[in-house]
Amino acid sequence: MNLYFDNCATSFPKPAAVAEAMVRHLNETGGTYGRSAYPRILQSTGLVEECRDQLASKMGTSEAGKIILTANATTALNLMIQGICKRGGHVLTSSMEHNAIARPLEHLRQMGIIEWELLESAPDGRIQVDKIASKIRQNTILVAICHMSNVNGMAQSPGEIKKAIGEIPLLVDASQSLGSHPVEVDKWGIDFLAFTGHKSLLGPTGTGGAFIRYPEMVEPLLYGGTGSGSDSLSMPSFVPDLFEAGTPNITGIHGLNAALKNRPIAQHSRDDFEALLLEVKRNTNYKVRCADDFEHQGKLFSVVHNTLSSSELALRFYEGFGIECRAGLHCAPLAHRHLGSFPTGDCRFSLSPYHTPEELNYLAKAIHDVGK
Amino acid sequence: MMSENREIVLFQNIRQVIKAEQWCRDNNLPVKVIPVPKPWSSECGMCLETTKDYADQLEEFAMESGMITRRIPTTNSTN
Repeated sequence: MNLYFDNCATSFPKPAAVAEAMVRHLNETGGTYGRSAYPRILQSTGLVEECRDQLASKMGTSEAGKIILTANATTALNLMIQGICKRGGHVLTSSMEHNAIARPLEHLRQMGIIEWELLESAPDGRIQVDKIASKIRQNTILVAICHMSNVNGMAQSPGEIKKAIGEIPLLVDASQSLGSHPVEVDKWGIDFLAFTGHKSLLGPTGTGGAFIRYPEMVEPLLYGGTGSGSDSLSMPSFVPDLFEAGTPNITGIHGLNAALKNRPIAQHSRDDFEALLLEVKRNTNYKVRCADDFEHQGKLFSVVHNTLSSSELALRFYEGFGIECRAGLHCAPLAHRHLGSFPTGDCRFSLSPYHTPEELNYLAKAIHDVGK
Repeated sequence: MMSENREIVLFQNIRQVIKAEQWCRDNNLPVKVIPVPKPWSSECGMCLETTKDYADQLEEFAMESGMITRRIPTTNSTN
């Protein structure tokens, strides 16, 4: 029985092809990205570009060449936030942010470079789109939001938000959503997107990236060798090279590419998940943190117990039922302040496509029994 | 062996080389991936070598795809 319910931290298990591809690259094929032209490099480089194409397809963009491969979503978010924000700018963000967005913004505020402010949102954290206009200033240079909260699984509607902000660039953190929830970069008008490879995409840690529709708006975060324009001490002006200094995580990218090409069919349905949530909500000893509307619910939720702390809950789930889940703030203090669970946090359960209906039933029963 | 009426096609970056080489394979255009020759070594590490006629077709594809290329005629054998 698969009792790992911490897939928002990192997904497990992965498709078998992920490890196979990584071992093959390490033990058999080898090769770096570009830099020369012998067959080993050509094969390895071609696979990196195949991965970029797979990612473009997954996120719904025709501009695969504007996908920058980084070590994780945090690196991608720092690249874009620090690279876009100029002195005197004003940034709008949501009340549900992870520290991957909140800390770079706060750092820039403390440096006296920008001001940032929260958009108004509903009790579950959904941005109130009709109130966005009142927050926009002449110097608003960016709206930066997470697509899916890593605390309650509520998914924003980036397309509606983009319509409300017009020409102001929209940056979306798709760390939790890409792979498990629809993402349509071109259709929704997303200008900048960050993603990670090791969560919903089921790839290895150390992979992730950014989609940068307007490279000219972003200063690089890293400077160094790219294998292109090497006669100049300046970075190349074109993407992806402009933002990809240094040898990428080629072994990891082999694994991510394999994950993208070998996505498992979900073993439980949306109805199974909804039934689980309804069952958990029946226990009045818990407050259940989830989207107000199941249509906007991603594959995670949290609970707060009337008397037991989140850490006590997590211990009881593991010791009593073998269930691995996560207690605490989940690196998202803003979200917990909004939801009313700061600073104690909550106990989070996040699903995998490998979970069966029987395993969801087991989880429901465990939550019920622990919460008695 | 590729020897006469040869051209080297340089690309702006590695991704473009890979995409162009893939297109050539799909369309049965005989090209060879080679290291960028020394006079142009500041370009990305690999480029394509083919005949002039095929380079015309390749250039057309590259332009349609928004790629930036540079063609260098060469009479030297590269194999």
